[in-house]
Amino acid sequence: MTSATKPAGKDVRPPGKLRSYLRAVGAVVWKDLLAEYRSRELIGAMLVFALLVILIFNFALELDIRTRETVASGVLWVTFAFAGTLGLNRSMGVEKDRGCLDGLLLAPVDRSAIYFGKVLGNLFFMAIVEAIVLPTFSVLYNLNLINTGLILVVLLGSIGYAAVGTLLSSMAVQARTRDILLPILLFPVSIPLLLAAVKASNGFLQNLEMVDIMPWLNILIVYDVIFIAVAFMLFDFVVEE
Amino acid sequence: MKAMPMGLKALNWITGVVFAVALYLVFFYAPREAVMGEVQRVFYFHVAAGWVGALAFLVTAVEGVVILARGDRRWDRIALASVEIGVIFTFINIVSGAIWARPIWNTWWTWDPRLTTATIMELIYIAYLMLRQGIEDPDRRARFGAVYGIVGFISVPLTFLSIRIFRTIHPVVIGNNDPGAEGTFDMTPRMQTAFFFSLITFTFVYVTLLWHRLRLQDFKEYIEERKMQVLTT
Amino acid sequence: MFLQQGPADTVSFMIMGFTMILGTMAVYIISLIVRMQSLRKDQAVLDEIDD
Repeated sequence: MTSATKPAGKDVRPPGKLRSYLRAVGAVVWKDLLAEYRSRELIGAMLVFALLVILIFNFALELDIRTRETVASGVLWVTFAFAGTLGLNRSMGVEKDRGCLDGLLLAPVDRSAIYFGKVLGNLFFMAIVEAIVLPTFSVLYNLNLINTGLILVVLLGSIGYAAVGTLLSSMAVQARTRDILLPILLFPVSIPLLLAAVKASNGFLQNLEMVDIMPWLNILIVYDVIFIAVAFMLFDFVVEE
Repeated sequence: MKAMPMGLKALNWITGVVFAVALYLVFFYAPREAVMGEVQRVFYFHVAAGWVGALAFLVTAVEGVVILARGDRRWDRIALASVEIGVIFTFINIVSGAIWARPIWNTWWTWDPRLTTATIMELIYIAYLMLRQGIEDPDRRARFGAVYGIVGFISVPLTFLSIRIFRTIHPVVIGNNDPGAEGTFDMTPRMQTAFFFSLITFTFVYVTLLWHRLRLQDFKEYIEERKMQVLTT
Repeated sequence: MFLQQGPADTVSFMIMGFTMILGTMAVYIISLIVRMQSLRKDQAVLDEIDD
């Protein structure tokens, strides 16, 4: 640009790099939501699976009212973890199978925008399933799970799970042993997250003192921050050709 | 295949000698522990094996960073060799921990934070190997291994921490309630000698085995190449 | 002061432990040797083919 065409005053940067980044993220999320809205395969599968898991637990564990209270958070998070892997697997699997991933990669957006877009999409699907499971669980187990603290924990836990899960599923779908591989990769590294989530959920459900719950919330937050950062940096290497 | 380099031959001998000395220290030099008796001697190699497992994991993670930063997959062979050795020695760590626990707490497993974390680490190692097995393209295999090696490595301290807090707040009926102790005993100076020497010995063992495993891997790749040549002519 | 009972008799566990430790290491080393041998055999076959 010659000085004649340069506007007077400060340098003009391309219109908000941040804005176009966010638009890219939004586009990825919107694509996933739209696709899911049209087919409704993913959430349906996750939901049915989650309800089946709860049902099985009901028969597998002899639960009187007191045991139910102590065991509820564990059952809940096992359900979320399993349904979550289902969602993650299918979400990434579809990308790979239909070649959408390659299409996305050709687009002139920062790879990390794709990552965040996928994470938000996965998070959204998990959230919908969780929003349905919580009241259902409350009814079936006769416990009140609609609890702000609990919802906070579910959110924090899901964020971390989706962050790591999206990265790992993008690797798993490229392997031959695709379906069984994601849980094998994800579960061991998500143990601190799941442990903290269960303990924190339990704390809120049983109305424990905040001082008892705080260490677990701290672990959740630390885990989320660390792994969002790590996954975001590593995603590039997973999808490059 | 080239003959074994002088350095490795020398290392074989050195490691052998060092190992013999370690055995002497562990069985004869170190005193018998006052409460636990002879089984406590297992502790020296148990911790040393755990140390090798952690070291191997660290090496793999570092290799991972190098592979990604340089885009050079030749470092991948070190990562693979290291994981293999790590799997073996973490296994030794876990099982020797159980054998040690059995006579002391009358149970094979105590959900102790360190042993539990070691088990989870072993599972991550195995997952790493399974991930690699499922990928055909060697370049991608190296990259994915690097990514998972890094993710896995970062998760281990968090796992240990969370289980530790869990044990502090959540007393266990069996085993020791103190999350810091697998079995506490005060170490006399002689025991400390045996302990630290064992750590050094096992480090030598790790490096030696790593070198041998790398040679094996290079040889393997060389043979694969020749096979490809034969098949395509 | 009560007289201490003396250390527990845990020799059998010690033997178990060391057998496991040394045994596993030996198995691994042997596996390395075996793998090396098998590669050498492959090399011999390939050398023959090349002649």
